[in-house]
Amino acid sequence: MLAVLIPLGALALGVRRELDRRLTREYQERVASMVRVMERDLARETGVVGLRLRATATQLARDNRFRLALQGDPANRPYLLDYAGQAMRLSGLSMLQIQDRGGRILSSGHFRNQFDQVEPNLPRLLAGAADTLVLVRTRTPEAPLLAFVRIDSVHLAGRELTLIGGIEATGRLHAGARDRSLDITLLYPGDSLASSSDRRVVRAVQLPYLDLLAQPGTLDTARLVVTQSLDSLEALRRSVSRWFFVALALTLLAGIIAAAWISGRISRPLRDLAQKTSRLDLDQLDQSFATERSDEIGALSRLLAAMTERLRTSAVRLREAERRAAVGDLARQVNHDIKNGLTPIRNVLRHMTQVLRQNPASLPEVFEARRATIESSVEYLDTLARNYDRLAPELERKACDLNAIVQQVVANAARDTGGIQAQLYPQLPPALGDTLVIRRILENLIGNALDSVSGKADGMVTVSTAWVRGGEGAGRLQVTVADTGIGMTKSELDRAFDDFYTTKPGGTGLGLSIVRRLILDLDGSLRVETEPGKGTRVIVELPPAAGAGVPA
Amino acid sequence: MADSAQRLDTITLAVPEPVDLARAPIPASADQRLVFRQLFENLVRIDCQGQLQPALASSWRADSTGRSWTFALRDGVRVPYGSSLTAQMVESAWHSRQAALQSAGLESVSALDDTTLLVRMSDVRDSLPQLFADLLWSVGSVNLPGAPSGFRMNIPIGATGPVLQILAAPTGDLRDALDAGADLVISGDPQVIDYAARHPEFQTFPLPWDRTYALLRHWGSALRVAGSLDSAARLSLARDAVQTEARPAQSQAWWNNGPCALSVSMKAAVPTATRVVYQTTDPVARQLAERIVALAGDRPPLSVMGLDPVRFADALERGNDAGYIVALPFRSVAPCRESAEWTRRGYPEPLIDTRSRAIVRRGSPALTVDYDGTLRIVPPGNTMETQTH
Repeated sequence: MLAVLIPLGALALGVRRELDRRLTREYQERVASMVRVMERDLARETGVVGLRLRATATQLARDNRFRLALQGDPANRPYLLDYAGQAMRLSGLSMLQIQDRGGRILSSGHFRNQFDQVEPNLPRLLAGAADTLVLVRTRTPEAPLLAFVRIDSVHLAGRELTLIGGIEATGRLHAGARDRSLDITLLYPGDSLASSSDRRVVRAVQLPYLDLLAQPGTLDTARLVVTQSLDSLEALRRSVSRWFFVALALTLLAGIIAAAWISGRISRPLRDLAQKTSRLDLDQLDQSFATERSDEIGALSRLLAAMTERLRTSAVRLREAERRAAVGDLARQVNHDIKNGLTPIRNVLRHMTQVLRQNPASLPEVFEARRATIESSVEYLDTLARNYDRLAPELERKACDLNAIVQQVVANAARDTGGIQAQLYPQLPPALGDTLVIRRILENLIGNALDSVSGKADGMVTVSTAWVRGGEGAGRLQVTVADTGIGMTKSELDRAFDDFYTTKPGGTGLGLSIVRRLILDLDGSLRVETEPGKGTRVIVELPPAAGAGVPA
Repeated sequence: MADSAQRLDTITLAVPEPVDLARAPIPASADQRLVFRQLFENLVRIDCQGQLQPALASSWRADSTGRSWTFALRDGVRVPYGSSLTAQMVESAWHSRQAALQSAGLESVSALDDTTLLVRMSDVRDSLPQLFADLLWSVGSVNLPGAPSGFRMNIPIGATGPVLQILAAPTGDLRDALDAGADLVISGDPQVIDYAARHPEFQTFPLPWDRTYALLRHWGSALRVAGSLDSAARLSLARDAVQTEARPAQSQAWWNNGPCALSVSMKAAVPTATRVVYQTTDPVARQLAERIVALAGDRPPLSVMGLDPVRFADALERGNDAGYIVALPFRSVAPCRESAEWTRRGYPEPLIDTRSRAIVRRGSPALTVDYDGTLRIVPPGNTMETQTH
């Protein structure tokens, strides 16, 4: 994942940085270009206004009616008052004002009836910015007027007249801004650009400015500020970031999906195989490795299944071998035991034969003396025969109520001793087995447990039943005999199920080995958990009867 | 005004724009007044020297109380193009303006017979009140034959007289109308007058001073005119500010005198707008407004605003502007009715008087002029004194 994300992140950062740099430079170029255009336009308009004003002045100088009116001819006074308006319209100007030396307005084109008003400072202030356009704020009767203005003069009828004329500025300020991303703002003296959180590229053109509506009128400086918002760049950067995060999210999602797929296709099956394999032991070889996969997992599963089958076969052989070994051992033991039983009898017979030969009259007396020996041996052999009979019971497989068997065995044991209890799983399905065999198993295990707790005041034996869900969906019945007795050491545990191994004086050592064999014959399993000084748990699992329901 | 070489059975009177007949008989402009005077007639008329002259009524007399006046209608008098006029027709026409009857001080009007009308006043008058010459008490109709409209109408003059054809100049320029053959034009435009003066086929006569332009300000208006509007200032207004024939307003402001002098009430709120408002249909008003704004200076800077007649009336009613240029009749025969329009609005300060000139094609029938500048064509056979002003 990191191998993909790191390069992706580097790419996104690189793209953003490069975009930023290039676009910012482009915007700066754009703004600078607009400023150049504006400066060029202003220079051109300066010339145009100057030419028009000069032409008006020239025409004025030639006008006799104006001259007569200036000299006081009342008949031409209306002509004088209307002159500036006509001249302004003919020359294409937006503002024209003719003043005398004292600043009195003789004729006004943009405000005809402003005649005789006095603006003495205007020519002086404009003269300070000769040869350039001055941005002037004046007014018409209807509204304020913003105009680019120049000044000229004409000498007429012995008087110096000042012509102040210009073109309307508002429309021209934005005429050049064909690029809608550029914003052109006129800032008057004292104004500042509205603060904005957006980044901007800003350039300005400075203009002489005169506000005739303010008091006092002074020549100041206005600024035409060209602004290029970097909103689009910011938007682009955000878009790149957004796409980067989208790519990141998609990569993560793809990774998760791939991981889930790999998990589903490989990891989980391997884990399942590992779990099944871990559960395998000689007493639990019922794990199923069946699969329909054709990949490596399937091959491994089939390998494990084959191995398990061989293991089952080997376990059977082992049991068989054990059984034969046990039988061999048993045969040797039987031979030994029989010999032990027969030897006293043979000795008595030999003595009696000798007495018969040597002193037949004492034979009854000798027989009487030696009869106990013979009876003891016969009793010994009889007992031996009963014990050996228990080693190979006949199994009858049918549905058994395990809870009932446990109850009965526990009840019988409880009559002889306290410290035993039963915890039964409700509605336990029937087990497949032999009731007698199961009883023998429980009797043996409970007997051992009670022996373990004997002498302990708080010793307790607990026999419990349970239903255990299997890995393949099937379940097994479980009966546990737990005691709080002395427990077993590891070495004792390892030999506990060996034939003829016993820690009890007078014990045959066959009990647990018989139990183990009986359980295996029932297709069950046995395991022991013990801790010295703490106690022992013997857990027996048995298969359920066919058709048994699964508890809720 | 008469020319010995009388001619024409049709006299064309050119007006600069179509005349709105909906307001008849009360005119809102000089052209409407001119046209309505041709369509409506009063019992009496006032000549250019302010004297009452017979019109629909041939004679009148008061009773001993001085409150009742009996009018005898002229024999054979007819409403324009229509039927013979009866006293009942006059009574009916006046009763349709019931509210105006009371405000004019007319208690009752009744027709004694077909040719005799009795009018009872609410107060005693030594002489016949001039209000009977007010167009409000005229009789007539705009329903001329031939589908008249504001653009063209034909009005027969008298029983056998010529037809007065009133045409709206297609281009709005009366010089074009003169070139197209108009016989009569009323104008104050110096360009039109100058143009006619350059054509020998036209004569030009000054008409009576008929308009007084005033600056109406509410109390508390921010409008302060530099210097006072003294006679010199008014002279400048008349001579320089407007492009029409004008003179400084005479002092006889009828709205200040008489029983119906304007009573100006205090407005509840001080006007806040910095506008001087005029009607867009009146170029003289615009020029005066501009001059007033120029004289007021730049602190605070005022501006002019032109409004159409409806919006102008609304603005007057609201009274929120610095000032209004209003055109009042120079002389009113019904000062109470006229001044009623101005009460509650402010005080009108007279600025200039204006008048128009009549441009008449030589050979046109004789004309006479009323006190308010209304031209009348003298029907053939009707001897009226030619009077000068």
